[in-house]
Amino acid sequence: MSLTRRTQQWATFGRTWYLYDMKWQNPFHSARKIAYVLSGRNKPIFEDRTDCGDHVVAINSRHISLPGNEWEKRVYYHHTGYPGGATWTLAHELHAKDPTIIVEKAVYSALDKDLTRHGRMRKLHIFPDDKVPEKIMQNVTHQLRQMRPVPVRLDHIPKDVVDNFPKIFDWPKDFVLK
Amino acid sequence: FYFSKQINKMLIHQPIRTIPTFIKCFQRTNLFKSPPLYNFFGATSLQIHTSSPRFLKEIVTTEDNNVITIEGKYVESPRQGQLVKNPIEDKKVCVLCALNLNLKHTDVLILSQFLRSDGCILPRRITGLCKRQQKIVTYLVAMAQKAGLMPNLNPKPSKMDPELRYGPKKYKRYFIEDTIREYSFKYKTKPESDYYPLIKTKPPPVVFKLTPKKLTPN
Repeated sequence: MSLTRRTQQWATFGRTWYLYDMKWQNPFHSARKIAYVLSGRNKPIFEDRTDCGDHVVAINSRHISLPGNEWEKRVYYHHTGYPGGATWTLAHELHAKDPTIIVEKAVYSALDKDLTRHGRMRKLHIFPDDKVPEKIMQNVTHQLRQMRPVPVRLDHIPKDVVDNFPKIFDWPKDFVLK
Repeated sequence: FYFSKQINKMLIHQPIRTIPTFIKCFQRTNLFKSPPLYNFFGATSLQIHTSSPRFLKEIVTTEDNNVITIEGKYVESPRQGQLVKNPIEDKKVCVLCALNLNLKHTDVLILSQFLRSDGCILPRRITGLCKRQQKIVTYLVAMAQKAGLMPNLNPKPSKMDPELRYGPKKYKRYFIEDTIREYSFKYKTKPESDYYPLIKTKPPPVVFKLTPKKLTPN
């Protein structure tokens, strides 16, 4: 092959490493996106049985957000196989034990339910915080867009912005504000 | 019988108005409010205000021709130049209905205007909203407080900051605004999960096809 043809080959078949920030994201909706990338369906050269997926580095998995009261209601079932070995653990308990499990399980369920699943899970690297080992961070080149907008806390907004923001109503004449 | 009962109640529970009104208006400004020196138990109780109270009136002294006039003048509210103009000038339409904002629980700058420094929601007679908008705002404020987005508007012993909370309450959570009944018929949003497609497996390939033979005229 000529040099240009060779570089084209490397570019098409090379594995790209994506970064995904999970802060304030729903893990189950994000898992769909991550599974899409891990399987390689974002590429025109996709074929189910060939190992054409990309790597995804998911950071801040400790700071995922679930809707409403799901932290108290969502339950993970596990059976050891032995009699009396059934356990039902709540999402917040599982998250306290290990902050990466919820994301891992979500992506595992979102992938195709066949023998390629374990190979694709090996390409997923989950970290609870911003801290990622150097060797992995050196490979990361792209970033996946977050699905939900990240909200801003009131005390993190500078005071002059809060004071100068347009007000919706004026105080009545003889009203004392606490 | 029923009406006479009501009248009796009014006569019994009438407040005793001994304090004249001009002192009462100064009392509200917390300037002349002196703390009671001795309690029942003989202890002093000082009223300490941690947040600055809103002064309704200001004492102004003017001198002309050997006449000193001391009067309490109404102070202009601090919001004078910052008010949003109601686009529909008809006063029957409340401001939020006229502006037609798609408010979310993360719009903290707007929602915090409807709260006291305690974190309590202000009543409708002060906010000037219609009944529907007031309900929407109460629900959105509750969502924002549960999500821990306004931790500085809180009573002192509370744990509005999620990091200080116990157990599942310290983890992040978000809310879906469509669950508010007053909101759902107007703003239909696409469910988040539909932004990314489900992985569908391909149907098995067709091995052979039966096609009808072409009938040629002979």
